[in-house]
Amino acid sequence: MKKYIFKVLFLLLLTLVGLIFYFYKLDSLPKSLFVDEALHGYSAYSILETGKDEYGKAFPMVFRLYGSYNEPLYIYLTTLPIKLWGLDIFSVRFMAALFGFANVFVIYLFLKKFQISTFGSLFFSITPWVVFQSRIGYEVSLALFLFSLGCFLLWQSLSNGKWLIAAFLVLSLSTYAAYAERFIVPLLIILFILFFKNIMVVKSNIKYLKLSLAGLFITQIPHILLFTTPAFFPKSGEIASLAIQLQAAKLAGVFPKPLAIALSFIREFLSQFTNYFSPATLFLANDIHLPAIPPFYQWMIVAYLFGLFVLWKDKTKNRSKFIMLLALVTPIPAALTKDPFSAHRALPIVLPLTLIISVGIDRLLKLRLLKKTNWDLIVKSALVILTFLVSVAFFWRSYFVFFPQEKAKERGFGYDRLAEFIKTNASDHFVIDQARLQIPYIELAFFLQVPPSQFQSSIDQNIKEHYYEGLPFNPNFIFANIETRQIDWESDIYRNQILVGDSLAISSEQAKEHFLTKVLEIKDPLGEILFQGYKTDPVQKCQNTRNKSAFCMPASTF
Amino acid sequence: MPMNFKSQIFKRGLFSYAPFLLVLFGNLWIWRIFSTNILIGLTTVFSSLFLYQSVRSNKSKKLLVFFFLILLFFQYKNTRILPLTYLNEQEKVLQLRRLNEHPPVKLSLGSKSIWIPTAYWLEKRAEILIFYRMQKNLKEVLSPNLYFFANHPNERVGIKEYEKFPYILLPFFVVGLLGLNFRRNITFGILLFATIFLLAIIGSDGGAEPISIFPFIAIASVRGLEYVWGRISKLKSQNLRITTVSIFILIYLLIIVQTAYYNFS
Repeated sequence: MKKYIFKVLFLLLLTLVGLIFYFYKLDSLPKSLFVDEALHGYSAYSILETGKDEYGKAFPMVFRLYGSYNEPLYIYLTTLPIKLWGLDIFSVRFMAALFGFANVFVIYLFLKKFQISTFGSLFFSITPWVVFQSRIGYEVSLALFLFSLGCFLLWQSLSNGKWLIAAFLVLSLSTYAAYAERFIVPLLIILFILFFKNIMVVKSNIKYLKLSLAGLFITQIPHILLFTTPAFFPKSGEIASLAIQLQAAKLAGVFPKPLAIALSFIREFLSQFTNYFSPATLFLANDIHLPAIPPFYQWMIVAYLFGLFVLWKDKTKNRSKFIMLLALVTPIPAALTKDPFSAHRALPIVLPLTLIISVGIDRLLKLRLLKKTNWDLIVKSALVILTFLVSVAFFWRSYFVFFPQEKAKERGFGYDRLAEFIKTNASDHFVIDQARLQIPYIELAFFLQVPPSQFQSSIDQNIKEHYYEGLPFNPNFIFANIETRQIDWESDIYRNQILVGDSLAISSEQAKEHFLTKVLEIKDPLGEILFQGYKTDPVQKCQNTRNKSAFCMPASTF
Repeated sequence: MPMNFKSQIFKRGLFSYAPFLLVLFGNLWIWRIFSTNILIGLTTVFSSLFLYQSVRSNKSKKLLVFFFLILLFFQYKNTRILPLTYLNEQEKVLQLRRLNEHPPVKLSLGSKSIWIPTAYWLEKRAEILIFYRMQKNLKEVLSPNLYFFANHPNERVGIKEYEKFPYILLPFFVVGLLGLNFRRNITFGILLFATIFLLAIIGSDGGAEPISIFPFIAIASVRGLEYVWGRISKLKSQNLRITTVSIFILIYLLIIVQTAYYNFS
């Protein structure tokens, strides 16, 4: 009975903490909408309204987002909150938060089945890396949930082969949620069968294995259809080929070229792979994605090291083999790319890392600190509570205090206000200079809620016809009363319109020279100018210029 | 049963020290240490030797502690030590900005309000500054990439990074470290903890490298090699054993050349 009450209380605590961490101020923290969120949100809105994406493609298998391709599941699921609450920041982030929250319970189940302390799931629910990715409206949180659930079912299948069918289906579904899973899942399945062949490839399980593989094949048909198109490998440019070539060039005089490339590739891949397990990167390096906090809390380094020792000691046990298998496979796609630490792409690695840390927490909690059982329990409980509170304080400092201010600029701050300004000046024509702005068209389409049918009609129709062929992305868009392109100083000053850009786009000297009047200024929370808007005055410009531009004639061009 | 000469050499003699010698001298770091200061180089070699003896046969503990204390002394003397609460100009600016970013925090109890100085606690208290400094210092030394990949992909500005150990040793290091029985090798554990603690406090600033870490990486790698060798020696085919060892040595040499060229080209 006591155990049962404790379990219920713990689950209530987990729910409460999860609700706070994943849903509190979801619409306003961060207040800005990141460009990827806007892309997902507007695509979902477009699908909901017209059954087509922004390019006019009906129910695509992968979504073309600024020239790259993204897996479709998150966008299709986001149509639901948009239907319920309309197109806003909360709706775009809702599914990520929901699946981030749900994943806490998958971890709980994992730890239960491992027969170790479930405190790991509580600390997982407040892990900076996980919370951060679950509070932004894109696909990786959903993918992590499906991947974790699939792995949990995979683990279950070791004791009952029937679970294998569900495991393969969920894992297959995860490949439609994020790009990294598309490469991790096949590798994981192959290695899982090899690692546990004495359990999986036996008479009692072989029929489930065959059924699972058949299910996997059927559910992968969309990917198979895309396999020969550029849409299947949209991120091939992310591979660290340049770094490898540079390293190989240094070896040119010593080794034959193929050997130099092979050695350079091995070094590059291993260094990236190791970086995802480095205590320095995981527990001590701040600012990887959030200011002033590492991906995992600093104290977790102790649990991590303990966990590793325990797993190595029990290396012949299935639990250790399973976690090691996950740890071996999950960083591979991220390690092949050039980014030093891709918090987005490497998110699946959070699963094995959490399991390792949880094993370590379990072992730490089993250490006897005091001889008397009651006192030992009291001291350990106090330590757990203190650790939890200190972690929350550090998270609050980073996410609630610094993040909204320090990362506002790179997270698309100010577009809502720019959209509001455009809305209130609907009779004006706007040129948004995008020399340094991150793909402004989609942020404005999102906040202005441009009708998707109107947006689709303004797009190059050729893209729809050759949707999966990877046609180059043209960042210049014309829709409603907006043009997103670079300012053309030859002609734009001779048209009646408002020129918008960042602090470097239009200098005060240019404004004076071309008779521009400042009508807009948007600053980030730290006071840095993000957008400034200048109204042109072609009449003044033409009247006061000695060498008249061709654009001054005829007057109708004003 | 009497052992023949060959097996005696193999079991007890110099040959059993081959992995130790390979790791100890088959890396760029030890030669860099020697080129900087022969005395520190010798201390590092002896510390490693006695650490190896201690792990292997629980012997030479007094000598180990003696040489290790000297090594830690060298580490201390060659480091530019700053107070743990020290902030450079850039850090001071950041601290000031962040102090201003904090919102006022209060607890309301009825009509009474208790103001909580979170900004001061989290940004300015000496204890918290010490914690942040130790975190930063540890970040510099607790990275396998620093030792095996010239800190790639986290290269630091203004520091000439180089591969301290050939990266082929990394898996052996991991296996060796995780396979260590810290209860049996308590000296190893205590010295490792003491070294990390010292480095957390003094850092490795001012050109001093974390030389006191050298023996631990070297000996863990040696133990890993011995563990794998133990597995290989169980192979029935002698040809296979010889082939495996030959391939390992070949790759080892290739990687030494590779990393040497990266560093000197």
